[in-house]
Amino acid sequence: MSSPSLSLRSVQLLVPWPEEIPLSALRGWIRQQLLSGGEPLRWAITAIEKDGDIRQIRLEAVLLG
Amino acid sequence: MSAAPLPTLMLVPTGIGCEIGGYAGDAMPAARLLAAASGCLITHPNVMNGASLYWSDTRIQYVEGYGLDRFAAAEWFLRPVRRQRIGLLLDAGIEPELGQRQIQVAQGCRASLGLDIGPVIHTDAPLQVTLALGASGASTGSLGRPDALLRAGERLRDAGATAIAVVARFPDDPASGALAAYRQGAGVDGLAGAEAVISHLLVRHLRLPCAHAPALDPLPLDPQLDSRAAAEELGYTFLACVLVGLSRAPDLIDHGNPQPGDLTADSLAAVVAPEGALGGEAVLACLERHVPLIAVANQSVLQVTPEALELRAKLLMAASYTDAAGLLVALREGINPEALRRPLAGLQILT
Repeated sequence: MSSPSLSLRSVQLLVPWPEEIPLSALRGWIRQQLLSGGEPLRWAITAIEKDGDIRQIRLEAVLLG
Repeated sequence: MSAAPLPTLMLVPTGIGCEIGGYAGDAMPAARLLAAASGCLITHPNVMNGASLYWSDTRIQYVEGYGLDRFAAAEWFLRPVRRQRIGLLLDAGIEPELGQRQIQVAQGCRASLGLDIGPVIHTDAPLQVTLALGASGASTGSLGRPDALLRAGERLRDAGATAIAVVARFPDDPASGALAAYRQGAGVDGLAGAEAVISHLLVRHLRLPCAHAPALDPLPLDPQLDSRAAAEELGYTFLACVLVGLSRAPDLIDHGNPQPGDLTADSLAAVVAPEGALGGEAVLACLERHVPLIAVANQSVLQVTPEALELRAKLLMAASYTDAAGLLVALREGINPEALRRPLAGLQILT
């Protein structure tokens, strides 16, 4: 039965893309980053920015808590 | 076409203002074309929902976005069906007359289309939908009472529904600049993000095909209405397309072994997505599994391109959905797409 304590939270994150994470592993890595805030219900990469040699990923997500 | 169907995933993310597909089911012509080219198209409600307008094609599998993500990640598989029994879930926050309009659509779909619909339930509390935009300009949103949504869904499932059409009351803002822009064929569908959250919640919780239609007051006539937004202003509801789509939506299977006829991630032969919107979970899951990606020119508010991702895997660029359809036919017939372009690269010679 559904609990009244179920909540939704929108988050926007900017995270550095580690060099050792290939594109083929990015989805799983991103899910791990989001899990610290709650179960990801809906998420996407909305931008990729370069800060020198470091790629930064912008994420927008809705998390369940 | 003699070649066997080529199971293809077609993605047009909702709420990012895609030039094709960012409005009222305006990606349907493209979906029809890709379904003809592939013989088996798996796509999501944003592509196929045109409010009062819809298209039913046995080659098209209607799968809600959360289910699509799980399918692409090989966590779930799809079992085509002849018919679903669609429970209708209405937000207690819908005014009685507007609620009756939704029920009349359901009645019409039963009588005139032969759809299996019922029962109907109202949530035990108003869902309290709110809308927002992310920093990217993409649409998002939330619910004040997700528990009420899920309780109602559970009751429909327990009463025998095998799919759920949900109608939530959305805030009216007829004077908003964003709505005016949308009606003129610009900007982002501000409702889309919250709609996705609602249907994602139900699919995640119930493992049933689900789709959402907003309940809104009708808008005054706009003589300058963009054609792509017109389908949403033909009637009192957005529900008919959802009922038609769900009527043959495949079952979502998260356990056991696939049966003959089931669609699994292993069977996916291509994914078609807008060139600048490659950062969603389903696309990334397909890239993990080396599914050939056809990136179509289809402008949106996002710029997550192959270059941004430094994508080096097998990638096919399409200038249009017509081009994409041609690429699908080539793949389906076993023709190397490189042979269709000039200049033709030389043979690789190993030393």
